[in-house]
Amino acid sequence: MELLAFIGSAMLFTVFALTVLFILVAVSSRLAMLTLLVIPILAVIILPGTSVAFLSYRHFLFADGLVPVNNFHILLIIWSTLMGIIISTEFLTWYLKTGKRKRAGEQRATQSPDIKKLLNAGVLRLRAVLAKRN
Amino acid sequence: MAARKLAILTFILLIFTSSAHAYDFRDENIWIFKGMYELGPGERAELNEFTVKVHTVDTDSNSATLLLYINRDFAESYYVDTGANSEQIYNGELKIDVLDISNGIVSLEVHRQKYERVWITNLAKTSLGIGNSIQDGDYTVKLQDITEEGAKIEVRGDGVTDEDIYISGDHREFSDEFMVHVIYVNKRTQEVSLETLRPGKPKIKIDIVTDKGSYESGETIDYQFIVTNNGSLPLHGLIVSTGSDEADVSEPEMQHSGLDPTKIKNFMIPVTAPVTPVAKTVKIESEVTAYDYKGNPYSGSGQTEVLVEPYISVEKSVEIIEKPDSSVQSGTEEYFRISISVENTADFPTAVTVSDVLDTSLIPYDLENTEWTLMVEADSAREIEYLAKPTFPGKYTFEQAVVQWKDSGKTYTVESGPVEGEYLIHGSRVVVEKYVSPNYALPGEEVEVTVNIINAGSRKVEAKLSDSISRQFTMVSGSNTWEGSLDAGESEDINYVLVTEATGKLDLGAARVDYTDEQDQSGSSSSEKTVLYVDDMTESIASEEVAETVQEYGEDTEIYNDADTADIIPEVGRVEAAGFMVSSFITLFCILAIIPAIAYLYINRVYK
Repeated sequence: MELLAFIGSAMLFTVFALTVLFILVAVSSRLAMLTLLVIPILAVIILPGTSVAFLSYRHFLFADGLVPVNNFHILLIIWSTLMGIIISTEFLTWYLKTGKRKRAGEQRATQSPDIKKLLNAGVLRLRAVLAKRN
Repeated sequence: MAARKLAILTFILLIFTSSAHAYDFRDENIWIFKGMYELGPGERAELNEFTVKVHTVDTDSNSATLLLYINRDFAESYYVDTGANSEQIYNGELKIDVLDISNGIVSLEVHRQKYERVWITNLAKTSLGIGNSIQDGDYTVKLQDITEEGAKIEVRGDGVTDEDIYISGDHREFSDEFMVHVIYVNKRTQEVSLETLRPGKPKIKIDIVTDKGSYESGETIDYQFIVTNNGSLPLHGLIVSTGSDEADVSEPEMQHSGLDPTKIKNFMIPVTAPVTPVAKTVKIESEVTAYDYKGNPYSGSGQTEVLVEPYISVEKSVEIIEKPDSSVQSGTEEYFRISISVENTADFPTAVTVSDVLDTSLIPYDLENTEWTLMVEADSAREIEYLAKPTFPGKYTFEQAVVQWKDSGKTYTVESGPVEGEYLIHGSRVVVEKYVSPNYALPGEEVEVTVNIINAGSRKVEAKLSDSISRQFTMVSGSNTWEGSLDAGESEDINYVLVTEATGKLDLGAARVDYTDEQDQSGSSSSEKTVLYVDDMTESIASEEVAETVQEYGEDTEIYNDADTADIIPEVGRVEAAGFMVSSFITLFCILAIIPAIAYLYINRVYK
């Protein structure tokens, strides 16, 4: 019975985590973060008895009963994991975008008209050398 | 005429003398064994008026000089040895038989010559006709004939066949164990009245008496060893030997010359109880050895057990003392005076720790704790006296005082006797209890508040209840005020009904009662704070059982249940659960976002 309860809880949490990850990848990280918070909150508000009973269901007792593990703890772990993923994704996205934008801006600022002329002259000279050889 | 009267008187006297003399045959003039003694030089044996003392002992020749005293006056001196001079007789009255002389000790037996009753009637007076016989054990006595000479009687038995002529008053002995005594020969009726006799025997009966069942350490035990001769012959040379496993017997051996039949001899033997740190049972044993006239030994023994208390003892007594009118505090009119006495019966001083556990509602006066360390001198007692104030009136009981000390590295403990009974402290005391029913309600649900005022003191009081209601509540019915008088032990219930629309843990406050007793002593008492849990959940998650328990005891604290949390629905509402989850989410988010936020700020600064 306890194993079945654990499997059921694990399936529910897996579906929840996959949903959030799907939204993260397919839609947006902000919506994923909102989903992460809203689904459990809605469950508690709509079905308080059932939700609280589910979340407070104890699966294990570690350290001779000193550390109980119930669904609330598992939810917090999933929250922290997914939250970490979302925040990391968001941060990396921002970082990469920022770096690319900066580099692009710098290039535009440093390319003066003399250089363009020199480059064009160089290109023409290179074409002439190649024509002579042919 | 005078001569005739004298003749008649003489005749009467002769008749009486004759009958008195008729019973002399029961006694025998014999050497009566008076005891056996082992005496060293200077030691003596006492036998009524005679005293035998060993003067000198010559170990080379195994001889000794004995001195004989009569009524403490020197009478005779004898040279004795184990050979020809082993038997000495003084004036036909006292015989000293020396048995052995060795290692400076003279072993001797003492006998006295005396008429002593030996023969005891076995078959009482019986009349026999000619040809009739009687049987006494192995012996048969038969009347053969009666002639002018007397009665011809035949005695058979135990290898004896005797036929002899008996006249009135005659008696014959057979083998020192059987005697026939012819009382009267009636020639007219041709009958003989006779009786048979046998040598008697002494019989020892022992009784032991002590004056008490338990003694203090080192106390003298009044030990009496009572020897009764229930036999028919006297006992001689009584020697009482006394010993004990723990106690000290100052006279382990006592002597007594003789004990006649039906007589009692009480040996008062001084015994000292041991000094012991723990209560123990001490066994005292005594044995008496005595002899009959032939030197046959008889003995008897007995033992008794007495309880010896530890040498440290403690007594506790409690006394109620009235307070002066001006100092009535805590509603109590009396206080306790507690006396503890520690006694040391040992012959050495002892350091002891006395502890007296008081009820938590008693406060010792001017003392930090009720434990004392004392030195109790030898054979003395120390007194401890202190006052204890009761914090409320009522009945009090007291625990035993405990004394602890060390002896030879071991710790011993002794308790005082129980302090019997209950001690009543007068005064006024009012107890206020406030309940709400149910403890858990929904918004808009009516709850009943009950205030129970109990007069727990011993005086009649005038009481006034003041119980405020928070703004969150609306009074539906009843009243939250009351004023009246309560006799001792009486109680009053005040009920009112409230309703609230607020949710959460709501404080109903504490009820307060101010009172004044008959003696114009005033005081006040308050109940515990009462709490009502109001939840807007549509379904009640509190089990019936838990609600009933809380209602019964009127506790205002949170429900605590030890049941397995895996099997029950926790008692939190949707608001609390959602709030907790949101706060958890935000906390986690903040923690996880710290490092990216720092990195964000740093990178932004670098690119600027």
